[in-house]
Amino acid sequence: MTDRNDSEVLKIRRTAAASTRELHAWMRAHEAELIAFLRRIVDMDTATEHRDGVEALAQVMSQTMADIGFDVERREVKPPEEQWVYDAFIGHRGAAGIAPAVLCKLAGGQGQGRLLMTGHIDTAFPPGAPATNPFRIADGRAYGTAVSDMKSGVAGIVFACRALIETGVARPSEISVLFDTDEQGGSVCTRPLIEALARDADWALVTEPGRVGGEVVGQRAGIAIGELIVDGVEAHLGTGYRDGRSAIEALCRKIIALHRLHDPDGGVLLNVGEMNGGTRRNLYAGKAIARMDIRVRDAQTWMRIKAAIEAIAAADDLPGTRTTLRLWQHRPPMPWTDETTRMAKLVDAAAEAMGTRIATIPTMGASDANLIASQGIPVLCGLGPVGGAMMTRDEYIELPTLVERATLVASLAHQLSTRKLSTRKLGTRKLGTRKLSTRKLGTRKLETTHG
Amino acid sequence: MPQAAAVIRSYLDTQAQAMVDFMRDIVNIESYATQPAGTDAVGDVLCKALEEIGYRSERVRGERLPPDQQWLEEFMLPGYDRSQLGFQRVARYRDSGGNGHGRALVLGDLDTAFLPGKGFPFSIDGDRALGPGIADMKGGLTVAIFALKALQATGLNNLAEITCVFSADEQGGSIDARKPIEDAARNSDWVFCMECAREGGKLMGSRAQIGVAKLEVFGRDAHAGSAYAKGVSAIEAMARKIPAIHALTDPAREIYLCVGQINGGWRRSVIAGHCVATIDIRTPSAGVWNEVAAALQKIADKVELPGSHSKFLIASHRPGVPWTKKTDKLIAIAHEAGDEIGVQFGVLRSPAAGSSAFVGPMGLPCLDGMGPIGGDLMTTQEHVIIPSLVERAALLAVTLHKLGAGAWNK
Repeated sequence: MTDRNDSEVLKIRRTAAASTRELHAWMRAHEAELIAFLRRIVDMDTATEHRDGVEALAQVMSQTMADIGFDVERREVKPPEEQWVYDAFIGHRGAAGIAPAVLCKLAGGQGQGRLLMTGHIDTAFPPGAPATNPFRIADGRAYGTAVSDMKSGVAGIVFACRALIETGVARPSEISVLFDTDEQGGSVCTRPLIEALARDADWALVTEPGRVGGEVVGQRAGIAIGELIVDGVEAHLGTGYRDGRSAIEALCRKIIALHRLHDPDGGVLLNVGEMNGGTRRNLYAGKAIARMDIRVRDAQTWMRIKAAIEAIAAADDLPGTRTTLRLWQHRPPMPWTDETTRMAKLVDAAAEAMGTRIATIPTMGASDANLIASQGIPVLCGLGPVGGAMMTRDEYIELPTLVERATLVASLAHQLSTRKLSTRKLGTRKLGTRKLSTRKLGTRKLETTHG
Repeated sequence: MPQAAAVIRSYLDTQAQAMVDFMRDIVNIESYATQPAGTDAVGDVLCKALEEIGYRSERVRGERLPPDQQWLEEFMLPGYDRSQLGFQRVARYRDSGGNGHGRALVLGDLDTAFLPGKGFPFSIDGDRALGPGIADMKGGLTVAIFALKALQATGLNNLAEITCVFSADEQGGSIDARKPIEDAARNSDWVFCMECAREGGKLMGSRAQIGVAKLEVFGRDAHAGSAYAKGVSAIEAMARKIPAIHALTDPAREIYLCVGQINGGWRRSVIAGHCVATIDIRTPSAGVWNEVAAALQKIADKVELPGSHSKFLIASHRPGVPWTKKTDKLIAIAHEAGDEIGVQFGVLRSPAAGSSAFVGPMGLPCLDGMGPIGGDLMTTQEHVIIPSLVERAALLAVTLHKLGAGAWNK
């Protein structure tokens, strides 16, 4: 637990524990209000493509944060230049565009450093979902549309901020809160904004759902999307068999090769989830397309797999056909660093002060934390309440963890602002100077629940 | 040039422009199988022309497939209510004097391969006429009508009976047209089908036994990130089968297969639970068909991934026309007719099949490809060679005249 075994460290730790308990007490006292706020935002219909719905919640969040004392602004976002990427994530769901993101800032903290917190207010459910899947509580769990992913994490940020302000414990000199409006669209529109905010921060906290086992997340997979488009030579089977080159045949050969790259133990999950080819049964298919999802454990693995996919696409396994490959890594891998280990210790300390245990683990999911990490900023994710059954009608959170996780977020903000343990010089860090952990990532067991 | 051939040829030479006009009119009627107003309108034009020369026409319907084969109906015209199909048309000439000899059957299709809205206007470019379905087979319909008109106009129709069956659902697998074609074939001696002549003006002496198959693979869907271990990819299982299916193609044995369409999965981040492929199969004979069907069944049944399974449906909707001694005889007569009017042609074995496919099992010889020389089928360049309209009409009329004159029994 201790980095340096001197009395100053012990004193800080005692102070941190006391502050956490104070924040915890505040949060328990406001539990009913927290649940009421959660109910309100769960029942708002905020499918990413339902721009008006997301906008309505963005206005609620703006007002709520302004009432607490934050300066609030809206940030317009625009689609990436790569049209196919936009289409793959959001274009096919409707063309209304993405609602402007909500950016909230609070200066004047007594502590040090600049903290970024993010949560997304859009959801993966289709428009209209809350009408048939409203917020409800049963058997110690709260249910409802996107209650876990991640309306409860959004509520947690709001109440963590309130707790910090109202208890008056030390907090970072500046807190930025971003409510993303495009996370379920792969954040392809909000990515530049998130990366820019990350570069202006010293640490970041993301309140995506906690793992089913209660853990928070210190390492995330990289996720990419890919399309393989094969052009063959269309010809009638009866009369043109000499000329015909089946794009379906060529694509199937490549799919077999692609799936051979799937290697969970080696930290690679590759799935061709869609395949379509041909227009008529009696024509050699002139076109066939496969769409894939590629998850890798770390950056080195991504470089290796990317090269392998490129080689498969380029392979001339059916002369006369031509293959176009498109790859887009919308979630760069979030590595486990020495700073992750240090932040995990703060999680331990906060949990201990609340009388519980919370582990920090790697997962094969991804989130906006990946984009933050890509800028070299220490970040923890999975700080929202513990939940499961994501994207189903049974999506839930363990209700007791609502208060616990909101407290954890506030405690981490406090601890980061008061720590004198870091060897890092705050606010002056440059990109690319961070040393990766020497810990052997390949031996880490990957947890693979959703997210 | 023997006199009958010369008379027929010179009559048709006067009809060259009329043939182009007639062809343009029917090309400009959009008539995919699911456009009954279109196929009926083309049928009306043909039947009216034949009625003017003494034919009697009727509108008929065929039969539906038995319940276990109804998937094939859906497969051929997905989502279409077959009761809405246009009528099959039968037009018949019967010699009233009792001096005629022999019975000929002429087959043509009213529908084209161009889906509604996918056509383009008729045009002429040099000696080529372009249009949707002009080669397949509105040019051939034109040739048939003018050949029969020529026989009538010149007084050289010496047959006992000529029956025309015009199909409205050739593109829909001829499921509805099959019975009218078979009924007419039962009372016929020789069959001529009006597909366009192939490259170099070749006719077709045989047609393949063709059919279709639908292969469905079921896996288990699961999120590719959080639950990949629970998933079984139907796409992967299917992908492994496709090369094996294509490998059954063997041109030396006239076996051709292609997986024309494939669709699997619905989301890239979900392991696909379902994948479906449609297969087109062409074989030279019933024996080879059975062999290929058995090989396909084996490929379908193979469990590529534990937890996956398949559903396989296969049916032959066109039994094909074998090349027999009768075929050789009919070709010899047609060659004689061609020589008399100066039209040379080869005859090939076709790896495809159309409306004539049903006459093979009835033991009738069939010459297919009696239409004009055409090319670039199913494209925006689909065309026929204009001078071949008159030539092919003369070829059909003179051949029919020779049969009526007893050439078959010589």
